[in-house]
Amino acid sequence: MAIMQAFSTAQPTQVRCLICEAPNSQDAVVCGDCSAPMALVHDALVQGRVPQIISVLGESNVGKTVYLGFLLDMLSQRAHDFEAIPRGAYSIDLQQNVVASMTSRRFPEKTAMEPDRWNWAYYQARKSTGRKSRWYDLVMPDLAGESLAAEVATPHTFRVIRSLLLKSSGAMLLVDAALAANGAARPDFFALKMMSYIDSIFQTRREQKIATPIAIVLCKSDHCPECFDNPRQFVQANLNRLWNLCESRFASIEYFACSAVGAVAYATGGNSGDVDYVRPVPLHTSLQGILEPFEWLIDNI
Amino acid sequence: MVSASSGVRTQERTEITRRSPSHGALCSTASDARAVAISTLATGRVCVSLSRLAGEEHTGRGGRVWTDVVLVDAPDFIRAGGCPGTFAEAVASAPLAAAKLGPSIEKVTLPATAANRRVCSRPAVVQGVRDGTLAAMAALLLERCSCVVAVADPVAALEGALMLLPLALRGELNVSAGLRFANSRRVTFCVVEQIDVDTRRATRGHPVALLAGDDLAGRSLGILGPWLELMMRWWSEERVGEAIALADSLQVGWSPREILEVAAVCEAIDRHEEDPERLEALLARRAAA
Repeated sequence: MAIMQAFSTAQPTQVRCLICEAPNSQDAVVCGDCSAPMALVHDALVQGRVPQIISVLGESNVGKTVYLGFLLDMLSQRAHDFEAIPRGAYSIDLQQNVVASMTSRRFPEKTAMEPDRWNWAYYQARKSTGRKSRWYDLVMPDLAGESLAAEVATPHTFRVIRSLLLKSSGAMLLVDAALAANGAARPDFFALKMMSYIDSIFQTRREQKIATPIAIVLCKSDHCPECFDNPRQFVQANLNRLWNLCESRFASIEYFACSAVGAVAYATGGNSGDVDYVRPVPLHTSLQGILEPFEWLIDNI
Repeated sequence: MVSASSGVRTQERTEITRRSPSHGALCSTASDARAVAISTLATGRVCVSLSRLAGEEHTGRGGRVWTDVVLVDAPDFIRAGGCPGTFAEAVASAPLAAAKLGPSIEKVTLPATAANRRVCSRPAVVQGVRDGTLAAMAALLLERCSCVVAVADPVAALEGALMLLPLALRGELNVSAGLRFANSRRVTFCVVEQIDVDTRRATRGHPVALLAGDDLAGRSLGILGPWLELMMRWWSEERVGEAIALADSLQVGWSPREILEVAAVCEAIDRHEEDPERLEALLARRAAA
């Protein structure tokens, strides 16, 4: 219904963006307002189904691009009996970029803050086991962490983020478990701000909890393997502010641990500036816990 | 936003954050690459952004961009010359070493400078004047035409085109040079090094013209054609100082009709059909009005 409305309520030569509902010409490749690909609307119309949006959130440098890229690649390779079909070649750019970068033993380039530089993935996915496996149309954008931080700090800075979250059927909040395990409070505070922002968006009554399923994903858990044993306990111990807010305000929350890199080396040199940073070099990938959050979200959407 | 002086309003911070370039936003990847953007914010103040590459971040991921932003009231923007060069000079002279930045910084003082004249000698500007590219760009600026223009040296070309315009008409700009086109920056006039696939993708289906610099020469110069032709001729005749002085003297309040009258008088003076005192009297009468 929403997709048909996207065409009917706009001018005859216009189509409304799936994310922000701004009118655009039928020839537009990206939305003139939020820079989301207009192909999302066109592809959704062909399917005749409204796609479910899963937002992947997290602070800058937590690993959103790597996580989402590997998740999509695993789905493409039918991991865990999943069958996934990309809708449009643009949906493959992210996983190709991530796989190519990691193969070259470097992390992918930082996602730019400008929305038109974000990677959008539109996939059809289902669990192929079971007699009544259902197809899901999923839109998963790779947002810039700094844009998320700017939006959380001052709402309406990047309105596309607010629009995305309002339309999201589920979300993943990635948290840097390695930093948290080392005693840094920054991951906890950012996660607290992010969840508070989500809480403010949905504006439920005080006694009502937010029903949107949210997976809290502890990234870089290879640095703190205890995360895999009991993610809930890890969050309660090391991300206590986040834990308390989730318990109070969110009805559908689950905690997961994941890791993408098997071993990390540290290199110096090669920088032409005055400052020489120690930079991490991913030696090889070793994917753990990538699919479980997605699986849980699909079961709870 | 790393640091700001007092007086930057919350609404302006939000708008600046939204418009500022991010990783990989500069057209050039050379270590000395720079870019400039001039925006009129919702509060009415003019935001002059000067961007440069800032190496790699601590994770080793490169393409980081550092942007110095100068906020100025619209009348002061005109009084300071309405050109990015002045503001670049002010920023360069301010104690803004990155390592010393705290949460708050001092306000900068805009010097009354002839920094613009340095731009005139740059090869891109000289060539652009000769082949009419800059005049065509100036005409597009006046028309507030939404377009992306590809030229060899975007920053110099924009500065040159602005200097061709009378000072009175350099207000309410939303322009950028040296930055990739992005809808989020809300610029109507974007000067880039080349029109690439990403630019075509972002502009397709939207009322944004894509223009190559080579195609601009010979383009109609619009309503202020006689003025721009005068400027082009004076620049070609090495009378750059006169051209800039005349353009800068036409400050707030000059209408296009009056500007064309000045151009006609100058042309007549150069043909020895009028005395130079005629121009002086015209400018003095207008200043007194």
